[in-house]
Amino acid sequence: MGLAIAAIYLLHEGFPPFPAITSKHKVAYALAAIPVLGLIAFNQVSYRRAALLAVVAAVTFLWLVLRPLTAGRLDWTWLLPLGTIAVWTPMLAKAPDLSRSPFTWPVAHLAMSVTASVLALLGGFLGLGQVLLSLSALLAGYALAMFVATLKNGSPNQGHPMMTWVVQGGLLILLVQLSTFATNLSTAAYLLLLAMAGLPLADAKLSRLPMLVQPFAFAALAMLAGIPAILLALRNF
Amino acid sequence: MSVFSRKAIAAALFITTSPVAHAADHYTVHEDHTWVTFSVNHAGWANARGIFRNVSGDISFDKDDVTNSSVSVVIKSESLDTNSEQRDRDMGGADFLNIVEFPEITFDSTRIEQTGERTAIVYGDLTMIGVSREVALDVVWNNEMPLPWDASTIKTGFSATATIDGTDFGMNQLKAFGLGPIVDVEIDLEALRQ
Repeated sequence: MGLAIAAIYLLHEGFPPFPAITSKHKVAYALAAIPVLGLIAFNQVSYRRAALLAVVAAVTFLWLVLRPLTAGRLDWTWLLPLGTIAVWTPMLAKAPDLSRSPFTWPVAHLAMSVTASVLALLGGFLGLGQVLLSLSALLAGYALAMFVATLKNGSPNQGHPMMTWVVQGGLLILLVQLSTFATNLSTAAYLLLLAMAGLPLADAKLSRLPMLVQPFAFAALAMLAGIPAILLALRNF
Repeated sequence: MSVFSRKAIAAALFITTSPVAHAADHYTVHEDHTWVTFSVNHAGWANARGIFRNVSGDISFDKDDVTNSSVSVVIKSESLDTNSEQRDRDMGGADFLNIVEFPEITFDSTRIEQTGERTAIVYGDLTMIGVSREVALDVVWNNEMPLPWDASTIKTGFSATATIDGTDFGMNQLKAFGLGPIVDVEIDLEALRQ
């Protein structure tokens, strides 16, 4: 999955030069690093995995803003990517406790990816919007495969926790890029997008629903933040 | 004719006919009288146009041997104006000019080839979005004269055209959105002699 995310990015943005010149190139390398780092994180406990991802995201952010930072330019909007890392890390650390339903994380990721793609397109970051749309298609395919498996067997195979980690890492890097470089990003819309990261907190309650209903319940709950986020982004467009 | 007169005439002829090696004159780009504009085909409908409003630079102009001249120009990327604030923001984003990371576009001449009495091709490195590519500017030297209201201020003026491919500088999204990617650049520049 991690390689697929990196491949999607490369297909859209092209192969980056070495060393990287622009933030787009840097993001390509960061995405490629996620599955490699997954080999290190594989046997770690969840909070260590989460901490590793936070470090990767923070280092990526610093790398992305290295040019303006060294030129003495600071931007208050950089609080958004830093906030993204701060919100995301504890959620990921709790991932094993929030995985009663096999649909919790796949639907949360899909909902965030779809919303983020619209925010990127409306926020003036057309290339990243396309990348996130393709990622959404990949995540939707994965969720659909799980749903079909549920129809057939009554329950899908729960993916390895590293699957969640890798997708989370890729999405986190892309959100850091979005919140750092989208020229017309609606801050309010982005904060609502971040609120969607809390969707897995509903895992305990929604996992009591019939298995076939769970993905729709998670999606409906996600859209409580997603639809207003998209409307705010449209208003800001 | 007296000896004195013959010497004076000879001296005058010598001054007007002998080759005199001038050092290059130095000029500063007059920002308010400089237009760096471009046009790019928009999906076949029309040519989208834009202008960079903040341009500065220095010119060393040797009129006796133009090949000894040089030019160095800095354009503030954020000064882009395409007649739409939203489009300006989009064009300043990471897909295109990437203003956050690369606030300046620079051109530094590397060699000059004289092609006519007042024309030359100025080759130089155009650096945009962290990528440097050689660009050839077709330049015409239009005129040089003092300001009508201030004889001590000498102004010279050039017009130039160039063609660049936006994808050479990593702007891969141009094609995806029906723009170019060939960009025609037109420059009209006035500069004040220092």
